[in-house]
Amino acid sequence: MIVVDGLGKRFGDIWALDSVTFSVDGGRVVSVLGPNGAGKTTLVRILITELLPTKGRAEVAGLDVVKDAERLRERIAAVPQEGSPIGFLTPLEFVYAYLLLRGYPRREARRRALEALDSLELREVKDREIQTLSGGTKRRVMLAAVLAADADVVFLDEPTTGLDVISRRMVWNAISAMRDGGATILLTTHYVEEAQMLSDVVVLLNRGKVVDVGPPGALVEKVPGRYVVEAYMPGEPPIPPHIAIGGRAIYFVDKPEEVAGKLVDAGARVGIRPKSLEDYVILKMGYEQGGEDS
Amino acid sequence: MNKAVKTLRDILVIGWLNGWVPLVRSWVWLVANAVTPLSLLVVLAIYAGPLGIKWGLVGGLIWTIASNGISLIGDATFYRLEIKFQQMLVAAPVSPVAYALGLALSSFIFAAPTLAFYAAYLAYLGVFTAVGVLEAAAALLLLWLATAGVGFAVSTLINQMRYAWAVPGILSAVLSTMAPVYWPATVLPSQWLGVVLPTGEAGVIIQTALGLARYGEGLLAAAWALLAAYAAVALALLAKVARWRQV
Repeated sequence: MIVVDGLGKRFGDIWALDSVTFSVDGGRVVSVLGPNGAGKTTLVRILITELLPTKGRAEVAGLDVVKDAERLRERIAAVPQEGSPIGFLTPLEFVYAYLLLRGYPRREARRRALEALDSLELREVKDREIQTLSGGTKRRVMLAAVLAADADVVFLDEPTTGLDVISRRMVWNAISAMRDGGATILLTTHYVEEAQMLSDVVVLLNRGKVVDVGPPGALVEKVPGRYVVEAYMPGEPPIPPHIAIGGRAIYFVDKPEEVAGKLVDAGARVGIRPKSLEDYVILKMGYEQGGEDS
Repeated sequence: MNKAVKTLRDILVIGWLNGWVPLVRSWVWLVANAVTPLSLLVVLAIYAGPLGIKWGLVGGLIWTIASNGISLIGDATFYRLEIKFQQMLVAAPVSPVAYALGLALSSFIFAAPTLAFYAAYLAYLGVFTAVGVLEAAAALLLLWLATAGVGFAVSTLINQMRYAWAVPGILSAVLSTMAPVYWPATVLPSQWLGVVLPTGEAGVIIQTALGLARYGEGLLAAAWALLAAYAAVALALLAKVARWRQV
């Protein structure tokens, strides 16, 4: 459903994306992870036909993003990064207008709008002006619009950034509902646990290049050991860590008690947890950015 | 759905959401649109009496149309840079030309009540003839297309929101005071200077059509030709720049 082949985008002398290649089947959720400036939004902008690539090609829903842009726009929907619904409209008006612009008949647009607002628990505020609503509620209004659109492929560029824990979960529910409806979803996020929970495939980007692609579980398995010991201490740690980020030392181990004990004895504040996708990202980004000491 | 019908529908939907809804929801927009030409009307009425009122009403018609077309800069830039509504529509079956014309329609909706007031007042003063009304309406339509096209094209060049609020004020002031909108082109060293800007062309046409001023046949013909050319070029420009894709 999404095929990206050698995709590149250059701004001046800088390659924001360079030879990015991955593919995702239909009905899946793919999360694109990476630090700020990794190229996530540039990738989304190319895939939604807003930005021309400098090199390579990409297909979404079997359509070329450059040659078949007009036909492709009928099959995709997007929530842009830092996007917000129009403040003087009500949530119902915004979603309804968006559906009319997508070509739905008026009655169908209204029915779908109400249904989507219901599913995102926005019924009570559906007739209030959007500018009076909280940031999280505004974000859910955006989600309601694309949820109601019933697009084949949905692009969500950091849809949960800045949301509280409850609002984030409501967004997760909307994403799950879209996937259950058969949509393919490409999601960019800084929240690794969100990507781990929601995604079938994770694409890890750094400095415009693909660092790794795979199911979250497979990527987690690439982290050595079963546990992570994370310690903070101002001085030199007694055991060389796998990754050091400032005074924070990270160890990937099978038996955490022994390492933790030595660190505690040296005066460190220590935490132990099972390894997760976040640890894989730290591992890869740590090495990529030269943050490792070991 | 037929492509032309879809385009027309999209224009109406955008006109509704960006023009009608805010207008009925908050009259402050209407007042904000009407206040400047109304102020000039009052000043002209005080200093020039009944004739000043006629000049103030004709100038107000032209100023309102031109400033609303130009004010599209603010909306288009806000939707593109600030809330990313344009990006949401890029990933949807909405044509960029329908989007631009929809925004232009919404600016016209804001202007409509003020225009209706001026037109009704002019009718009350007895300056309308059947031919005069048609000529004035045609000139205002061309002026609307010209300024809306320029407004959208300029909006695509703006990369910081604060300029989107400043630029329309400057353009509106230039278009309404540097051209014979509230005054006759006869005060200029050469009347031909009066048809350099589209507002001046509309001014020359409407002042003649409503009997406020008399200009030569050549100048009048030039005003029509240049105003039509401005509108055509602005629409062509709009079609060219109103593309979703960025390089």
